[in-house]
Amino acid sequence: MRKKLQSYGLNILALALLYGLMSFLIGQGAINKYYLGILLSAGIAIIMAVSLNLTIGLLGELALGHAGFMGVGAYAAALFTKNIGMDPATVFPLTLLLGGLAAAVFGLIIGIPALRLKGDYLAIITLGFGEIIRVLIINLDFTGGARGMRGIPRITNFTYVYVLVALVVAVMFTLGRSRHGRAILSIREDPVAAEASGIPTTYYRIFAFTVAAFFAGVAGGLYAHYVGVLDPNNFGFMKSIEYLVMVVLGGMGSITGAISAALVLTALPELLRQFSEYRMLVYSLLLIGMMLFRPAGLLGIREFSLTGLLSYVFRRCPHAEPEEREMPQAVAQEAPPLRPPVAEDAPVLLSAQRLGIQFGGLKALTDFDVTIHAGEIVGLIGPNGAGKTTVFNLLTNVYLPTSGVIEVEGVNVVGVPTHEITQVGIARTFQNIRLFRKLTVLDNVKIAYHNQMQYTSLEGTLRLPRYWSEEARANARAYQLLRVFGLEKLAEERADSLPYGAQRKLEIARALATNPKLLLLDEPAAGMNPIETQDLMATIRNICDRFNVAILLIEHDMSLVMGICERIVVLDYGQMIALGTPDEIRRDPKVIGAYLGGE
Amino acid sequence: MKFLQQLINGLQVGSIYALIALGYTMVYGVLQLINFAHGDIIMVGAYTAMVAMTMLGIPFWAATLAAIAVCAALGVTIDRIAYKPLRAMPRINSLITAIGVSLLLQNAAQLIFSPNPQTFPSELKGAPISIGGLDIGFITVVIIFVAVLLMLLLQAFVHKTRMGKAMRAVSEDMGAAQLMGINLSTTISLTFAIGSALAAIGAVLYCSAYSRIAPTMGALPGLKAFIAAVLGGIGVLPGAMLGGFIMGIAESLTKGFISSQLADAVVFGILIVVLLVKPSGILGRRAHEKV
Amino acid sequence: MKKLFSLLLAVALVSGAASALADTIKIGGLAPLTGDVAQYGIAVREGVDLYIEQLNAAGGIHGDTVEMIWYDEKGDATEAINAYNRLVESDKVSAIIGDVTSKPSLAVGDLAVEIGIPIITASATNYDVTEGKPNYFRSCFLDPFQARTMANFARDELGVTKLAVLYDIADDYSVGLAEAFADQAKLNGQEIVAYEAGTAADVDFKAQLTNIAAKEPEALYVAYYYGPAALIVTQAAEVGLNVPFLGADGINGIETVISDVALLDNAFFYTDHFASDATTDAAVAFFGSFTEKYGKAPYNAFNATGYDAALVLCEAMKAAGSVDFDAVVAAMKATDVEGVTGKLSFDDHNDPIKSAFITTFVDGNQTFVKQQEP
Repeated sequence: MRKKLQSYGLNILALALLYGLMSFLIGQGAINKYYLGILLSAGIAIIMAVSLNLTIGLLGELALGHAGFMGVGAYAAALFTKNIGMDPATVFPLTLLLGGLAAAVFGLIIGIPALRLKGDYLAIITLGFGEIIRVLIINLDFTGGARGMRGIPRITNFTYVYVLVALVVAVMFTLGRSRHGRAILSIREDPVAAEASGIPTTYYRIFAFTVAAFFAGVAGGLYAHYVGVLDPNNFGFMKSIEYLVMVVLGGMGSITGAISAALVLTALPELLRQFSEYRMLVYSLLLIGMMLFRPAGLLGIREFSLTGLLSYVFRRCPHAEPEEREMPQAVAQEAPPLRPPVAEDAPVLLSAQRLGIQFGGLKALTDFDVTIHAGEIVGLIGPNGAGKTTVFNLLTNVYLPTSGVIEVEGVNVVGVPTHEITQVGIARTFQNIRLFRKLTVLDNVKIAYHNQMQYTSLEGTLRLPRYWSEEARANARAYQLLRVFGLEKLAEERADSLPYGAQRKLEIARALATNPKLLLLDEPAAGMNPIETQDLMATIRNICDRFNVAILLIEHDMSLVMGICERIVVLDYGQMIALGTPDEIRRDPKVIGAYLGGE
Repeated sequence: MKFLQQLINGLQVGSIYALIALGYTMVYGVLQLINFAHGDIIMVGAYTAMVAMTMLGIPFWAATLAAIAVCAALGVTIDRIAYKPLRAMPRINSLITAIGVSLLLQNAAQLIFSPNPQTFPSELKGAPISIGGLDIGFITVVIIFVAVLLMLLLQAFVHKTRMGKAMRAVSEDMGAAQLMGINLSTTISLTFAIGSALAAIGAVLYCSAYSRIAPTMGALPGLKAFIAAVLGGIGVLPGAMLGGFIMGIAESLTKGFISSQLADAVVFGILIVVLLVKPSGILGRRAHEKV
Repeated sequence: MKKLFSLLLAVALVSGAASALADTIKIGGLAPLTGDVAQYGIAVREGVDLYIEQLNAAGGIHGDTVEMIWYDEKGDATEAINAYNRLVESDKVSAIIGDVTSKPSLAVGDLAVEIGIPIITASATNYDVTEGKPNYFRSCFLDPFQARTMANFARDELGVTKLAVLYDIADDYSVGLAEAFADQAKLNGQEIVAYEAGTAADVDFKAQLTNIAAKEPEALYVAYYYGPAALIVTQAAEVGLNVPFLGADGINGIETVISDVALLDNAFFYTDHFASDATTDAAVAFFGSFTEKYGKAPYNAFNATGYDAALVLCEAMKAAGSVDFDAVVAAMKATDVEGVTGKLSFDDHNDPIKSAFITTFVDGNQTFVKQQEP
C-alpha cells in the first residue's frame, strides 16, 4: 500500500508539473491557439476513447452508438448554460456534471437490452439507439433541430480539459483495478464463469454502459462549450466509428493505448490538412496499414506506467513491480480461517426432487432426486450423454428446470439467478475449463471474492480506507488459497499460460474462493495421468476437510470416484438408475449393464 | 388504395435492401465479419457500369457484366489484402480495416469522379404496369423479380452444390471444415466474389431506379441493408430477404401514415423491439452455448 | 486599462499585418473538400481560385501576389475551428474566404469576431452567420429571402393557393427554406396542405410523394439541392403528381442530372443568384473563363458566388491600400462592385443587396423568368 501511495504521489506530481509547463507555454504563446485547439480536441477525444474503452475493451461488448451519448451530454449541458440565468462560467462544473448525468440516463436505458443481447446484435441495438438520439435531436424544437444550436458560451479552456482528462483517466484506472472493474473484466473473459463466480453480470453490464455514457456526456459538455455550435449530424454513426477506431487502434482494454490513439488520430488529420482533398485518402491508407502491421493496437493490452518507466530507466529493479504484490508470507499466516467449522450432525445441505428438463422433445433429465449433507463427497457417474452436466446446469440455474424443486438448506432456489445461487453456497467448475484466460491467476481467484467485499464503486474509485483493507485481506486469502493448490508462485501469470493440470486446479481454487458449502466438480481429472489423478484425489479430500465443503463430483475415472466418494449416483439416459455406497454401486447389475452396454 | 401504393413503394425499397443484405449476410455467415466496405462496393459497381456505358460505349447488359466482374474481383482483393492477414485476430480488427477500406473507396471515387452526383444512363425503362387502378413502376417490378430470383438461386447454390456445402461447412466450423479437406482460402474468396457480384447487380438496379450516382451513395443503403440482415437473422439467406422487405415496408408505411420526419427513428425502434423479442433476428437460429 | 490593452493589441495587430504586406498577400480558404458536403466546398473553391488566378495575372493587388491557402474541414465545426486557428495563428493570413456550410461558418465566426479579421462566405445562407459580426460578410443571399420570393411568385404569377412542401429534416439549409416558405405562404393566405420531410441521403421519396399527391396540392416546394430534387421530380411523375415544382438556388444544375429533362420544362421554377441567360459582360466572361480553366461550364451557383466573394474581398483590399483588418472591413462595408451575380453592396447585416432571378427551363435549358428585387 505504501508503494502504491508513493506511485500515486509520483503520478500526481508529474501531472501537476506537466500542467504547469503547458500553462506556461500557452501563456507565453509558444503553444498558439491552433495547437491549443488541437490539444483541446484531443483531450475531448481522449475522454471519449477512454470511456468507450470501458464498454469495448473491458466489458468486451461492441458499442456503436457512443457519439449519441456525447450528443445528449452536449445538448443537455448547452441547454442548461443557456437557461440557467447565472454566469455560466461559474456553474460550469455543475453543467458538465449535468451533461454527464443526462447521458448516463440514456446509457442506462440502452444498457437494458444488454440483459438479453450479446455480440453483433447488441452492437446493432446500440447503433439503433445512437441514431434514434440523433433523429430526436433533429426533430425536437428546443434543440434547434437541423439548424443546430448556436451561441453557446465558449467556456471550455485548457484547465478544464486537462483536469477532466486526468480525472477520467484516473477513475478508469482505479475503477478498473477494484472489485467492480474485475467483475466487468470477468464478463469479457467468460460471462458464464463470471455468473458462476457470483458476479451479477447483468448489473455490471448495465453499470459499465452507464458509466461509459456518463463520461461521454461530460465530454459532450466540454465539446459544446468548446465549439460553441452544435450540429446533430455530428453525433451520428460515423462519429461513433471514429471513437471505436481510437479504442481498437490503441489496443482494446488498454487505457493508455486509447489515450495514445486518441492523440495520434486527432493530430494525424491536422498533419495531413495541407493535402486538402487527398487527406482522407491518406488517412484511410494509414488506418488500414496501422491495423495490418500492428493488429494488437499501438500498446496491445499493456498499460504504460510512469513508475514502470522510471524503474526501467533507473534500472532499480529489472522489471516493474507488479500490482498488489506486497503481502505473501507474513500476512498469510495471520489470515483468518476461511470458514467457520460446521455442525457435526451434518444437516441436509441440498435436496433436489423430481428434477427434470426437456429440450424440445428431448428429455435430458427426468425425476432426478438427490440429497447432499454437509461435508459429504458424492459421486455422479454415468455413460457419456447421461445428463450429468445437465444436473450441474440445473442446480446452478444455467438452465431452468421444466419440473422439480431444488432446495438449499430448505429454501427453494429454482429460478434464482446463478450468481445468487453461488452466494447461497453452491460453486462449480466446468467440464471444458472456463477460466478468465487473459487475467492473472490471482485475479481469477479475487473475482470470486467479489461478494465477500463490501466497498462501493465510489470507495474503490477514490481508494478510501475500506478499499485498502478489504483488498489486502482478499489478497492474503487468495495467496493462502493458491498455496493450498501449489499455485502461489504462478499468481502473477496469465491464466491461459498455465499448464493444463494447473488450470484445472485454479478453477477449483476459484470455485472455493466463493466460500461454498457445496462444490460441484465437473470431471476434474479429465486429461490427467494416473499420478496427477492420485494427487488430485488427495487434494479433493483435503479440500473437503479443510474447507468443510460437501462435494458433488462428476468423473469418469472409476478409481477416483470409488476411492473418495461416500455415496454415488448413477445416471443413464437422463434417468437415475442407482444410488448407494461405492460397494453397492460396483455390484449393481443395472449399473454394470449401463456401462457394458454403453462402452 | 393509398395503403397499397405505400406497400408497393416499400417493396421496391425493400428489394434493394434485400439484394444488398444478401451480400452482407453471406460474408457474415462465413466469417462473422461485418464487411463495412460492402456499401462502397455498390458504389464501385455503379461507377463501373456508368463508365462502361458512357465512356466505352458498350451496351447496358455488357456494362452490367463488367460491373459484376469488377466488383467480384474487388471483393476478393479486399479480402486478401485487408481481412485475410487478420483472420487470427479478434473480429473487431477486421472491422476497423473494413472501415478503412470503405473510407478509401469513397475518397478515391471522389477524387476520380468528383463529389458531384451524376446521372446513370439506365436502359431498364418501360411503361408502368397497371393492376386494378394501381400503377406499379416497371423498374419496381424488375427489382422485386430479380431480388427474389437471386435469393432462390443463391439458396439453391448454397444447399445443392459442392461449393455451397463447403461454404456452409466453413461457416459452421472453420477448423473442422479445413480438416475435412475444404480449401478455406478458395471458399472464402468465392464468398466474397458472390457477395460482391450481388452488390454489383444491386448497384445497377439501384441506379436504374434512382438514376443518381455519387461517391458516398453506398454508405446509407449499405448501413440499412446491414440492419435489415440483422433484423432477418444474419447469416440466414431468406432472413436477409425478409429483413430487407420489412425494413422497406416499415419505412414506407411510417412515412405514409405516421410521420415522414420520424421515419428513421421508427424504423430503428422496430429493429430494437424485434431484437428484444427475438434476439437472434426473425429467422435466426439461436446459438446455444454449451456450458 | 482594458481600453489601453485593446489599443495595444490593435497596434500590435496592425504592425504585424503591415509587415506581412511584402509581396504576397495570404488569404485563407476554409471549405469541406472531402466528406458528405465536399461538392459545395469544391464548387466554391473553383470559383475563388478562378478569380485569384485572373487577379494575379492582372498584377495582383497593387503589385502584390495573392496566395490562397485552402484547408479541408470535412463540413465539421471542430475541424473548421482547428483549420481556422491554423490559418490565423500559423499561416498568419490577412483574410479568410469561407466557411461553406452554416454550422462551421457559425463556429468560425465566433472566433473571427474576436480579432476582427475580414471574412466572407460564398455559400452560408443561414441568417445567424453574419449576425453580430461586423467583419463577417456573405456574397450569397439568405434562405428566408429566396423562400419568400418563391411563395410570392407562386401566388402572383402561378396563381396557386394549395401548396405542399418537401424538405430534408437533417439539413439546415433545407429546413430554413421550408419554414420560411411556409410562413410566407400563410401570410399570403395560401394553404400548406402537406409538409413532408425526408432524411439525409434519401433516394426514395415515393412514400412522401404519395402522401402529397393524396392532398392534391397545386404546387410543390422542393427545398433540396439539385441531386435529390431530380429524383423527386422523376418520382413525382411515377406516383402521378403532376404539378409545378418550386425551389431555391440549390436547384441550379438539375438539368444535368435528371434522367428526363422534359419533366422540367415550364414545370420547375427556382430562385437563383444570377440569370442563366444573363448577358452582362461579367457573367459572359465568367462563363467563358470558367469553362476554359476547368473544362466544364459552371455547374453550381456557388461557382459564381465563390468568384464574387473573392472579388469583393480583393477589391476591398485594393481600396484599403493595406491588409489592416479594420481598413479592409471598412472597405468591404462600402463595397459597390459589379460581380458575376450582379451588382453587389451590403446592408447593415452584411448581407448582399441583390436581386433573386426566377428561372425555369425550356427545352432543357435554363430560362430567365423574372427578376425579384429584395
